[in-house]
Amino acid sequence: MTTDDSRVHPSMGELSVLTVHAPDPAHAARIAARCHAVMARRRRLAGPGSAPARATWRRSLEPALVGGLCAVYLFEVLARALTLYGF
Amino acid sequence: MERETELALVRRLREGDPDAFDAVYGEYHARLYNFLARLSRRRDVAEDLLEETWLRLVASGTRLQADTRLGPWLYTVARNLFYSYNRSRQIDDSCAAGLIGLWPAGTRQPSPFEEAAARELERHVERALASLPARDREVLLLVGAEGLAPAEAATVCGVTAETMRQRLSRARARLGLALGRTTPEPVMLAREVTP
Repeated sequence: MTTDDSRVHPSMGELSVLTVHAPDPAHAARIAARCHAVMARRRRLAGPGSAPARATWRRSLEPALVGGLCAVYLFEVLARALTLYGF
Repeated sequence: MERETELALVRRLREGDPDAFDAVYGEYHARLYNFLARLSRRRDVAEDLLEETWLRLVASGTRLQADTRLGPWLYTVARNLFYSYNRSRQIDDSCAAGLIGLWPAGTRQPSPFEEAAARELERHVERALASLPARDREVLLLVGAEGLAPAEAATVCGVTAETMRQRLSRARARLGLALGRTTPEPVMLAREVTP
């Protein structure tokens, strides 16, 4: 049997009389609207100023800020130590 | 749907394009509804499962593989949702053999006689189809009504091509019996299960 044979079998031909019924338009519209709302929400979340974007900004800036503050602190400690020892 | 068009739609779905969703929705909504309604034999269940199928597409849209076949993907989701629903509700597959009243009245026909004959034939086929187990119905609907290739139907059902061929052959024989044929065309069936 070839692939196409299965579709021309008499029983399969009888299935072609089955009507393609239209789903309830109101229900179809509700589903589409709900899906669009979900897609819009996902787009909003992925856009600039969104939570993931804020997380990315924080990931890149936070280490630099902390590193800078540590450098200032160490420089101050070193400067005071040198002052104490009369340099 | 042309393969090129399908690939373009998949690419746009991956980008979250709502117009691409609308195009896919327009192409498959009625087909999925008919598939689910005939599989579940209940309009309310079909509508719920249909909604969940589309929400799954929206949820997974950005993660679709670039070469995804949308039809088989959607039918796979719909089918899996139906079996999940079945498992949760423990629906008895042997009941509800009659399908009279499932569908609203058919579309207008050229003459009252033709209308009556067409409706009678369709009702007969619907009733025969509804009397089959879900496993038979799904393969007949996927290949016979939805026009999927047996290989695609095999993917949807998660079986090998050979298994699908055997299931299809058995399902057709049972449909033939349900339609009132006294013998399920044994010569053809014997030939069909032979590779």
